Amino acid sequence: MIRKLVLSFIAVLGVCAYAFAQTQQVSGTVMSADGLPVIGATIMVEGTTIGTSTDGEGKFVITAPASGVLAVSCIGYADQQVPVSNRTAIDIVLQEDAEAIEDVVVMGYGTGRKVGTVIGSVSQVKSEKLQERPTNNVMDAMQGQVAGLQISSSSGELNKESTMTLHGMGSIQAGNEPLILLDGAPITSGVLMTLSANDIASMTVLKDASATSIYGSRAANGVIYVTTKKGARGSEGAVVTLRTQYAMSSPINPRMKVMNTDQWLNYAGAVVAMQNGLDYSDPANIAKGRETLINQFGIDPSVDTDWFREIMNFNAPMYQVELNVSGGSEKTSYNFSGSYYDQKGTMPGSTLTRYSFRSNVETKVNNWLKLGMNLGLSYQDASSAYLTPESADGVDPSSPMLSSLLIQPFQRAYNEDGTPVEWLTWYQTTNPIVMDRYLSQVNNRLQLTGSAFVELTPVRGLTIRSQLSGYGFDYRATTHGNPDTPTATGTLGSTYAQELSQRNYQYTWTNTAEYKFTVADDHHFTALLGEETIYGNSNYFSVAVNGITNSDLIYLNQGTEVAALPTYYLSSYAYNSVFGRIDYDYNEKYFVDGSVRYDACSRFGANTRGSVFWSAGAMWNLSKEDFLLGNRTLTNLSLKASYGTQGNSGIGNYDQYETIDAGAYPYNGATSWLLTQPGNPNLAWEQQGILTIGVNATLWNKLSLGIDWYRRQTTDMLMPMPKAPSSGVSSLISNIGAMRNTGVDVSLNYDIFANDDWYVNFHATFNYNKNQMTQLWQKDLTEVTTGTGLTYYVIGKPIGEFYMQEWRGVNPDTGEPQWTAADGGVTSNYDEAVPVDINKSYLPPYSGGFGFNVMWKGIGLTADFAWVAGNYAYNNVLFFTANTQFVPGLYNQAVEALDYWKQPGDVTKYPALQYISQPDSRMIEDASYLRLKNLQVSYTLPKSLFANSNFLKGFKVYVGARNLFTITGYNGLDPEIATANGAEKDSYINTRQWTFGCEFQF
Amino acid sequence: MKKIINLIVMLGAAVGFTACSLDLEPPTAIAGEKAAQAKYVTGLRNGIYSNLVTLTSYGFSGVVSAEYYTDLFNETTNSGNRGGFFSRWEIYANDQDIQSIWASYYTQILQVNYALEKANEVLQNNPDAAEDMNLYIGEFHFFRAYLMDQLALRFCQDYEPDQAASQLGLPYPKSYEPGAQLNRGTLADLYSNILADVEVAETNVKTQGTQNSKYLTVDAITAFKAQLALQMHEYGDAITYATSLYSKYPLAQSKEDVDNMWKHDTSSETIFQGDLTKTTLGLASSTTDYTNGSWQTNGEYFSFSPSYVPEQWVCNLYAEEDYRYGTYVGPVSVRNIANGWLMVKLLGNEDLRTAATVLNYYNMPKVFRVADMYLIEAEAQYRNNGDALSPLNTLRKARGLQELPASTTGEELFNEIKNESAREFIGEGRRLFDLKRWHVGFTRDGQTACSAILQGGTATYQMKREANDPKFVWPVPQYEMQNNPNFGAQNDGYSE
Repeated sequence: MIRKLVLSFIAVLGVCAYAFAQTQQVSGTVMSADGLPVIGATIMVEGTTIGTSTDGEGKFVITAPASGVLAVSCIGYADQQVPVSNRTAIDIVLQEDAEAIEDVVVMGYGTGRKVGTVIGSVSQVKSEKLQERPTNNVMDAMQGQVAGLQISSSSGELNKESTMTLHGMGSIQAGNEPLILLDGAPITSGVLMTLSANDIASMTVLKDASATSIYGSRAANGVIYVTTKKGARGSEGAVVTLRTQYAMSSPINPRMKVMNTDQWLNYAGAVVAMQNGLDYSDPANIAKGRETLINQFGIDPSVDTDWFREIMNFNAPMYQVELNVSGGSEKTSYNFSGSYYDQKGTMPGSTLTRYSFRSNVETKVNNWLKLGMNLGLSYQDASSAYLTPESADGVDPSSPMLSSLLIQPFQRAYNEDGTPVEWLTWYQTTNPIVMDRYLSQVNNRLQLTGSAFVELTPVRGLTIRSQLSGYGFDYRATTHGNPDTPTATGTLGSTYAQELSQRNYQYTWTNTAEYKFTVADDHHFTALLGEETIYGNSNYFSVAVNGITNSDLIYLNQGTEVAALPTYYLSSYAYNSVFGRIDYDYNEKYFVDGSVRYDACSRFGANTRGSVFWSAGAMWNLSKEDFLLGNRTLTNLSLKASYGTQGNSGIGNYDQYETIDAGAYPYNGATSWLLTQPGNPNLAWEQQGILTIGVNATLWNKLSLGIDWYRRQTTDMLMPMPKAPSSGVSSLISNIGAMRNTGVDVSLNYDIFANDDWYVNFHATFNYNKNQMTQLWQKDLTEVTTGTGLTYYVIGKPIGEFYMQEWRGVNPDTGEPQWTAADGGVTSNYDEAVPVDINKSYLPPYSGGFGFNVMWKGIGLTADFAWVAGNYAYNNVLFFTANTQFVPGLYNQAVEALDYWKQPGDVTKYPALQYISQPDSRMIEDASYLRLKNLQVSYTLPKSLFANSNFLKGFKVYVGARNLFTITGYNGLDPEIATANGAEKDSYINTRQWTFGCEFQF
Repeated sequence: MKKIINLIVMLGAAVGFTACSLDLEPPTAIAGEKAAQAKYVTGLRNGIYSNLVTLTSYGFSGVVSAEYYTDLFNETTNSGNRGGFFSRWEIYANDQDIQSIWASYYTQILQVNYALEKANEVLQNNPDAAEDMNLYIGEFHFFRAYLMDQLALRFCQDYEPDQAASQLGLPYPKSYEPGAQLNRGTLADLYSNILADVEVAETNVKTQGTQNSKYLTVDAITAFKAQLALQMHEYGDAITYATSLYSKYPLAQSKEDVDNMWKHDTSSETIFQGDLTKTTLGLASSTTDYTNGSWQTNGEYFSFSPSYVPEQWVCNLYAEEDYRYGTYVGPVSVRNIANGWLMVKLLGNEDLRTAATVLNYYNMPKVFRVADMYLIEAEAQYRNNGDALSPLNTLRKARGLQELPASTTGEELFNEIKNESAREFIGEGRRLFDLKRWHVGFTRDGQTACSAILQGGTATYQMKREANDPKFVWPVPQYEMQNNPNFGAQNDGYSE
């Protein structure tokens, strides 16, 4: 009432002052294309600060100049300018806009909201960033795009997921992967990876408590909300897009270089001299050692093979084609797509082929009923490289990567007649070049993801929705050897075959009711109530046979005996939840929200399985205040703060139970049972609280900057508590310990220059994250080993704190290795070396990315960099490639091993040759890196060219490069993989790719 | 509007049905509170026998590592550093193999204690099962004692009766208590606990002995008592126990008999051996280290590429007339080596192979066999100044060797006992314990024919170790020291 009075007063004043401007009152209704009123649409008089919004019936009243223009906007609809043209009643019809929909953030089950009106800290990456990358893995394209979200590919293997963490490591045992939601329902990263990037409209990362607490269970590590593409209702005809891509992949170049034949002979010759008690600094003795080796082993010094080059695939092809059809009638929208993807890996034996199909349909049956169904189907055939860290337990010297470093350069790869040498006599393995013929590890996966919903709007503002979503996959893997596999003295003669089958499914049933209403025009409320049930199930079996002697057919039925009893297991889990949320804003200026969720999970003990999570948040949009209205410099400014709690349940389905299990091997024909785990009936939710304070600002409508400070405290941490192994267990999972992540996210986006021909944009993200253990399982416990021999948990320090025997350099006088002794001095006896805090961690405190887009007419140049800094990795590869212990075995070594001590006064990295390497801090290296993830040049033909064409409507070509170069000081194989794993023993290193692609629109 | 209301009502009803039961027990395992039933205790007993096969198999790291640690074998350039740290005596408290060996024994003890607890519960609730349960309880006590002795042999000094009260022992878990922090106590405590467990076993186990028994028998208990008596210097008892088994387990009398013991795992000499079938091979660890052979179709023989070759002095122990020549150790075709000798004892039971020409190196572990009893008697008699020559000569004769003359006495006789032990038990992982008990060191003696492939230089293949070197005892794993504040001191010669 007061507002109306004030408005009338202003109106009267306005009439008085500007009577000649002929303002008038305009009223009308805003409707959607299908005739429904649009609630909450914003109507502004262009060039002024006069504005209003539509009420519950879509009606509005505004005072505007007769010659003015009304700007109408609402989320989900295209903006519209409507000239007043002396009219006093104007009905406006807004068109739904597929593009505009992507500006919507889906927050906690409700209907979408405009990005600027949510309190939660969110970041969105859109389809353009994802679809043109030459990678089968959409997460790779996300790297460096979202402040605080660290993504590292832990392997170059084609069917291996990336590791993701948001705002540092929040958990030790219960997992650090964000909750991934596909159109609202949780999926695993494996399911995400099997989706086609082309089907994804946007990926939204929800970071703070205000955004994530409503997902209570499992939201502790943040939420990644994946939205698939939808068609636009009421669009004119279908849009057909055809995109093809061809790429060539090669392994990135590791910084570690190995010796050539001459270098190796000099090095090994010196070792031989040392072993025979001669002075190896004397070249004559080295020459003698060389002769000994050449004669004893029959080495041909003229052979010099680059084994990395020989083993790895260079310019391995990738081919991809995608077809997308999108459109809609007044009532129904649709989006159909199909894609084919085929890639060969850079290691022998690794390939991946994928077919995916998707159909998203939505229809409005009538004014109050909407139905929709999304279905995705993919089939993937993959073959893994043999003996990679993924496929083998521990380090195997015959893995392709290690053998590419360690095989002697004087070993020929090919015979005189050009055929590959089958057995490497010095290295004692089958030649890795031919190994993929003798070991087959193939798998396929058929995956279905789907969701269907019913949405009712019985009363204006009230939306009742029931959605049933699910995914399921069937996974088969076949592994077999080959009886013709070469051995040192012949062939294997008999081999095995194994078949593994796994079927998983999960369904999520979500029922929500949301009510949006406005009180006294400016008080906007949204209230939501909901209920959700998740059930997942997995079954698995595998069987293996021995005795296959025919290499033509190597299948399960060719075996003569079963190798062991088949393995078989079933497993399931369930969650029941209820939740509610309320949002309020006053005139889009002051925002408050709160949420509560109760979750119960079958993984926890009967008395501890339920937990309540909640959040509260507030935001102040300063740019709507009078003192900033119309400010041309600071065009947008908002402050926000939120606090809330989340849980983590990422443990085994049955960890709470003491269980006995039938063993794989009967004894004397009778089933044997084994105690498989002691269990812990008191297991409960890992708890977390996040406090976030942030500011968003936009300058000159061009430069936007977001800064968030957060503190993330994890308590009741689920982790294996180390136990004395003499009690029969080395650890027991319990709710113990606490950890804290404190940090800052900065995102910057600068549209530097834009006009009809030019568009120049720069964007960057930055994150600083400080991870600290804050409590261990006993009060007075300040540090304790993690049992890896590399790291300790230390109060006040990050997890992943390297704590081991400290390398103190080579004694220049004696050539002896030196380590820190118990008294803090040095010792040359490894037995007396004590583990000490190295003050380095494998968690990167700094990470981020930056990039730019430059467009001139139809030509575009895009570059995206990703980086991490301040992290260290244990370069375990050096233990094999710079260690005199392996020289008598004739292994090749890294060039840096040549830096060994010869005589008093030498300052060297490696000690005198009689000292072998020990696990110590010398192998801890700075693993910071900067990688050019993506560089792309594209050309889009002007639309005018197609104006007269009924067939072709658009055409675009592009050339891109992925992982083109890396700047790092890390001396191992791949700093990105070392960062993902903290230590690098053996890697399937990442690939560098060149892509050529084109896109047609019909 | 009516439609709408109907729909809302239906949705509301549906919501009620969505909630799932959260009482999801593991479908393919049994939760612990249901385990106290006779059928599961029987199953747990089978599991314990199965695990025993793992821990006594000839490729288990606790067995091969002990073997590589001595002067029986040299590492070759084929080894890929498998066992290399043991061969070079580069063993520290943070060694991963040491930790895994330690944990393997103690994990099995946890299984035994769990089964024991459940067996006692069944005994209380189900008197009908008493006969079986009492037997199992006896067996469980025996296995706990046996495993603790295996740990003591590796991680403790040799038992000296006059010092045992101050020698360091090991934690001896007597109940199911995952996470317990037990003190290591003294070696005297350790052995008295072992003896107490053996006593329960003797009371409860009435299973009569048969040759090649797959289950524990009264004779196996006697054989273990003989071993313990020798370890504890109770020489009179050792002789009594050892000799009591001679008549039921006669020594092999031909080369064929000796062959059968290893190529078919049947022998009149075997008192107790773990059972293996082709489908349970995964239980046992096998090793290619001593041989690694492939069948040569042109010529029909195996050609080998070994990672560990017997030392020269070991080769010299096998005379051509010895039935063990060529069956245990002998000249074979070694790749790139002329006249190389290998230990071929563990090429595996031929009946467990899938194809005759494809080696898989699996044998059933012979936990107790009677040849050991003759050696125990000989050593005990020698220590007691009794007739050591008779049992030694009986064994020699059964292996095709000449009897030693009656003039063989004193140090010479003891040397023959020592050599006989090496000859008979090579590959079975007990020389390290012999050396400790005899208080002798060694000097390695690389096999001349194989010198081109010996690993590690003269420092390794001519390594010398004094008898009093504290590192004859392996270190307690660092992980145990760090997570068990009650443990006590680390072994001599190692940092904490």
